Amino acid sequence: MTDRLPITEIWVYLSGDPLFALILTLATYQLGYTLYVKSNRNPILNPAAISIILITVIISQFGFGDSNQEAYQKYFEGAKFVHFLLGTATVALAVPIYRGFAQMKDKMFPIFIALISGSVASIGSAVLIAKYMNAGESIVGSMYTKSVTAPIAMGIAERIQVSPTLTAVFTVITGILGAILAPYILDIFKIRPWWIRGTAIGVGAHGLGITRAFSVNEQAGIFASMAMGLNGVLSAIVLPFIYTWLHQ
Amino acid sequence: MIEGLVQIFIWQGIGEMVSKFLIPSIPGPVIGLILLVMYLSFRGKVNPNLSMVADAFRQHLALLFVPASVGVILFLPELKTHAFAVATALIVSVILAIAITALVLKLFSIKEPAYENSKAYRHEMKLLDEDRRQQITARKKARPKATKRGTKNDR
Repeated sequence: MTDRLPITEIWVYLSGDPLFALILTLATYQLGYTLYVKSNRNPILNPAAISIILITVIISQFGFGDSNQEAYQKYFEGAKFVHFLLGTATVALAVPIYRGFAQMKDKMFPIFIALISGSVASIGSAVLIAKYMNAGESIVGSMYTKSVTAPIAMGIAERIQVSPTLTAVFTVITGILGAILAPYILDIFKIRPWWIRGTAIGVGAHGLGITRAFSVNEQAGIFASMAMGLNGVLSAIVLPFIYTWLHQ
Repeated sequence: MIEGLVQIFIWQGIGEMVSKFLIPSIPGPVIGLILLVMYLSFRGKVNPNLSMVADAFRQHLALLFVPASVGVILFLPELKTHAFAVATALIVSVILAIAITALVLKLFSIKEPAYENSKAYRHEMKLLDEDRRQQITARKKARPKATKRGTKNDR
């Protein structure tokens, strides 16, 4: 008799390895991305959302750990290498911001005012509605940070001690909703100039909105990236003060 | 590519240090971002290596927060109980964010001249690469009479 490992043991060995979590993360994202591109960039098929749902199902159903807590810890052990790059990606946002600056010299003031009013409206409405409907402290807390692009939002979430996880999830959902709704909202208000459409999408729909904006119009994409980055920077500077002031 | 990555990592490192010792309320990477924007404005151009890495990151930004988002597995019961509140809050805030940003900009831009007469457009033309500008001037030189007549007719 040969000592062949039963298939379950191979699984136990593999699922404990950091490499597996890494493969799982990248492969599910790749799958999601392929579906997204094949579907003509339909925002409902958000690659990140597909990846998150698949991973959640796999690690909770296939013996990653006895509890969800344990399964997630095991998964994160490997996936932290991807997670680490969030900070790096944040710094890289400097390039689109700089490119946007070069195009908007005489629009600087209106854009700042618009960014501030847009994000105040976004944060204010999210927090007030969640609070009014008694959504629980951790959910309300993450509504403060969800309006910012995820890498920056999670940095802020750690500073003001709200859940980075919920922040990330809400940001992904916001991106999907924004990318779906933005064209309709902008058409209702008869907003035509591409740079205005782009800026609004950057504030409201984050990364997913930006890829869509780029596929429609180059200028809209540049302004969207700039608005997203700038909104993140402003929020990172101001939000911690507002949050501590409100929660004294 | 490596050159661009190294540059970004160095700015991130400087940002982390400033955040730790000087401005603890702002995350290190955000300070790194601000410093890099200042550096780029000072230099007046983006090096192609850096721009390639930055575009790759921007395109697949969503991949990077998958690991954190999978943590939703720990919040499922809580989210289920409050699903309606969460959905309402998110939908309303997305609509308001987009509508208000766009409307404020529209309000400001009513008095603005047509895009072709604006400073931004002139600046953009300045940024057009040398090749295309030369092509345009060459074409103008080749047919000076036609262009003159054209402008007269327009007036």
